[in-house]
Amino acid sequence: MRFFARIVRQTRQAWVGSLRLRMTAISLGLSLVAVGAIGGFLSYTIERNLYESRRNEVISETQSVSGSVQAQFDGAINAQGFIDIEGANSSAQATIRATTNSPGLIGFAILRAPGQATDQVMTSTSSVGFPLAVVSEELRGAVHDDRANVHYQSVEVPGGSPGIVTGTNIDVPTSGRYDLVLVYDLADVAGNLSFVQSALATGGLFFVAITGLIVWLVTTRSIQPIMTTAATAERFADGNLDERINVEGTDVSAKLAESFNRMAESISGQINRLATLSTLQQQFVSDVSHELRTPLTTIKLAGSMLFKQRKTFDKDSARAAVLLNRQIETFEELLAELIELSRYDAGAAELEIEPIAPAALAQSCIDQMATLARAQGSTITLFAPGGHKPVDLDARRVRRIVDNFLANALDHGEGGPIEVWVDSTSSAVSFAVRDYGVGMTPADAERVFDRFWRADPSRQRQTGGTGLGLAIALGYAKLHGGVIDVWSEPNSGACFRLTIPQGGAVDPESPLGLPPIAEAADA
Amino acid sequence: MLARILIVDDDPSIGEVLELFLRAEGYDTRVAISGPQALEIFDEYQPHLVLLDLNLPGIDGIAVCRSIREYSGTPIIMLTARTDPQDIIHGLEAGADDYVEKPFNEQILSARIRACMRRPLPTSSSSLGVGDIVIDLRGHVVSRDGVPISLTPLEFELLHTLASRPTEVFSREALLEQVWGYQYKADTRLVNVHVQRLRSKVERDVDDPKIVLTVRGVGYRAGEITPA
Repeated sequence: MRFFARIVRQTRQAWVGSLRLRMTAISLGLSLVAVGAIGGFLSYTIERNLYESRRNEVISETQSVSGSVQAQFDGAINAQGFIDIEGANSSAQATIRATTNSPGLIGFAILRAPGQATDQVMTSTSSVGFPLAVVSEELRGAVHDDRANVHYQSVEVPGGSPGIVTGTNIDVPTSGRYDLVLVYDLADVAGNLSFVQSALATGGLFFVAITGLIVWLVTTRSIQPIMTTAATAERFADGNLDERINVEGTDVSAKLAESFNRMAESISGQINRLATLSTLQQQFVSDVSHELRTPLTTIKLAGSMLFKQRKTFDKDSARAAVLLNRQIETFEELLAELIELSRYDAGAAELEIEPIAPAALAQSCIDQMATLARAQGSTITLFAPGGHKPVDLDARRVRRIVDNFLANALDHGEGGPIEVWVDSTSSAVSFAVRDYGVGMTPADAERVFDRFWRADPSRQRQTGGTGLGLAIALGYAKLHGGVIDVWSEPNSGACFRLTIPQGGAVDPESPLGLPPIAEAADA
Repeated sequence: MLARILIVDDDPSIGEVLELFLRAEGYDTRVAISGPQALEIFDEYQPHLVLLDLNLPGIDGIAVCRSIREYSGTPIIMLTARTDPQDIIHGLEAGADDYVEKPFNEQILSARIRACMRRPLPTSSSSLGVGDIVIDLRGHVVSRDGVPISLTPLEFELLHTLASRPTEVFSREALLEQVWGYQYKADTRLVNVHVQRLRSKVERDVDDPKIVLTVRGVGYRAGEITPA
């Protein structure tokens, strides 16, 4: 069953998949029907004509034979009005033998018509091997009913070939009516016919085959432009933006080629414009980074020198030095993040992969935040069911993502416990940070990755976030082919989970739940 | 006598504020605002250290770095505002000992300066042999078959550190801490680039090193130690 199902499926695929196959099959089918109909008609007509002419020949022969025989019998009456019936019979047979020359005569008989009483009775006679069985009552009845004409009936003669039986009435003086019956074998006609039929069939099949071939060639020729276009489009899609089709002539395929070329021209133009834009963007980022960093270097150094000497200033100036110093730091951080984000936007960011144990990476992130966490009253706990073996990651960027998750958890965790989760499978490694703080509404959770978006602008931030942190984190995750998922409920806290595919997996399932739930054994 | 630092930056205000800062830290300073001027002042001033901006008019920082390296091992710290990692590699390959990215933290800058100018490691023996070269610790000279090989102080110290504990494999992080004086995680490319530079000077065949060996996945160690 399965084998047949496969055959059916493959056939279906081939059918749906090849225009050429479909066209050829359809035209083969149709021409087969047409050839069948025409061949059938021809064969039928020829058969009829062949049989008809043969029948006419046979009938006219029977007529002439019966005429001769009748004359023979009529002439056998002597002057005294007597007749030697058996003698006449013998000579009638001789006459029949002499006058028939049509091929295929199997035999003849002179049979006494039934149901009559006469002075004399002439014995019914027949030639040797006469197939009496093929002479039907029907024929003889017809002869009886209509004595003037020759009657016939198609039969199958012994040996299986088609035959014809003719019968006509003969009046034998003093002995009444007799039926002259002749049986012809039409094997020669059948032979001719089957020759004609096989010639027709062979010709028809040739015709069908040639039609199929022609359709195949014509289809091939006419879908050639489509195939060329498809192949060119394929190469174009692979990035060969200079691929074009040669336009020949002015027909519809030339029009197709022209349209394709125009489309390709337009697309490659757009792409080139975008590429130029991207290059400009990259250049701009590089310029901005240099142009802003240089003055910032001076500002920063000068600011920190003022800050160091603030004790020697009056109260207001000292305060100004403190504010200046703090804001310079914020500005610097913002600039760094903007540049990083622009680099990602411009596609200039490249992963720097190195093998590192995810759990160790998470631990070092936690260690770095320890002081801040203590200040907030939060405890950070690492749960690492897996992730102790090194995997390939851009450690700096992943650390940056986890740091960002942690900073958010500290900012919004209300001093509650914070859980850091790490686990890995063969297809993915995952980091999650869970807090039990204020949480977010689903609407807010959807916006957390928006640039400069803050859940609660009035909120005092402890970690000095710029509003770009999660946008950068998401960019870094995407750079790894990974995703960041968010779970949050108001007053229940939030969980951010980073999942990075491993070993070429695409959209793997995260090894961690969202949020991860500590099992009794782990807790 | 105060240690002399040459500041090379095309932005005069950076030069000035660095001068203010470094003088407050107790250094003597001069400022150059172009490549040719930097080379001129370098010859005349004989600084102990150069702070070199990579982006200079005329001759760029990398070319200045290369010129200085042709005849001097004076420590060079690049100041870079560029974000392209390739620029940093180019600078290191041109012979810079270390780099600081603008806008830098002044504490980090002064830590990097101190690390670059610190005294050589105290040593008990007078010389060490690694492979077919001899390290003269007192004279700070490395030679092969009596022919001296010119190394910068940084390269000398890198080689000395590896040779002083020949059985030990040094990770890149350990070398950053011991040779560059980094307390914190830093850019391990510093190590890679300087090992390449060192090898190009001391190895007979760079592709088949005998003096500084790579231990795959771990770090570097010295070649076979020979009694000097």
